[in-house]
Amino acid sequence: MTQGGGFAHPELLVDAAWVDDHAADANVVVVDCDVEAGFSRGHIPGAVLVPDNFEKDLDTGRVHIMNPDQFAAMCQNLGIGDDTLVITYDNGQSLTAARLWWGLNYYGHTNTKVLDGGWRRWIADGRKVSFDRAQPATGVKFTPKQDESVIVKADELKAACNMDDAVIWDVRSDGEWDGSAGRGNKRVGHVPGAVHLEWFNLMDRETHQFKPAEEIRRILNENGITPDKKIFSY
Amino acid sequence: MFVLRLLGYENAKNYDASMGEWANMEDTPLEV
Repeated sequence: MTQGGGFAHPELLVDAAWVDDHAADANVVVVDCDVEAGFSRGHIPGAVLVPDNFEKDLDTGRVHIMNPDQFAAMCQNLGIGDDTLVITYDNGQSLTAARLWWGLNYYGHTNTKVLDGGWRRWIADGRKVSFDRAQPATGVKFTPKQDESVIVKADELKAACNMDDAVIWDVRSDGEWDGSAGRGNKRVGHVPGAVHLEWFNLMDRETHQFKPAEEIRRILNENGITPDKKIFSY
Repeated sequence: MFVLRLLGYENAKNYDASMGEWANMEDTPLEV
């Protein structure tokens, strides 16, 4: 079971039993957000594999949402149309699953849920594993409808550095935060005034599920990330 | 972002371009 309790939107999570019952439904597409090597070692029956580097702009190779045409083409290749319920999962702690969830939401496809606990939950339950290549649904149409309310551009973030009612949340690694890991960028470090809380602190490292809502709220509160503020994450 | 939506923290935005943009611009503040 997914814990669900205490979350404002528990419907954004599904548990493995639900996926087992509905993966074959005509309007459901389960997307494995792993890479080829992991996918080929086994996946949820019927799941399709997200393309490599789906989180990157195809033109620059940097982390950035694809343009609408590229994103729509990717979705249609996966069998995702406007009426599809998308379930995302990965074999880690849902970083890439949540990334695809965000991309779909950015393009207006809110009918998207994350499998709580991902692949680890699936295996822990002893559920069936597939090595087959599912044939994605054909003839589907994905209509990208950009939702600019979920994204912030550099100028707005610059202004937020000096705002009392805003918090900038750096979810990256220690090395990225302190500048020891530059990742090929010209300069290193973090946005002044940001708080640092690496994303996986909100995950249960054993089960790979989300921590209970109250615990997540407490951790966020301790870092000044509260719902009364404008929150900008990166 | 996902967890913020899960909790109902609606006033949240993702700086999607992240450091691949910020740390390669000339006029963005950075500290280490």
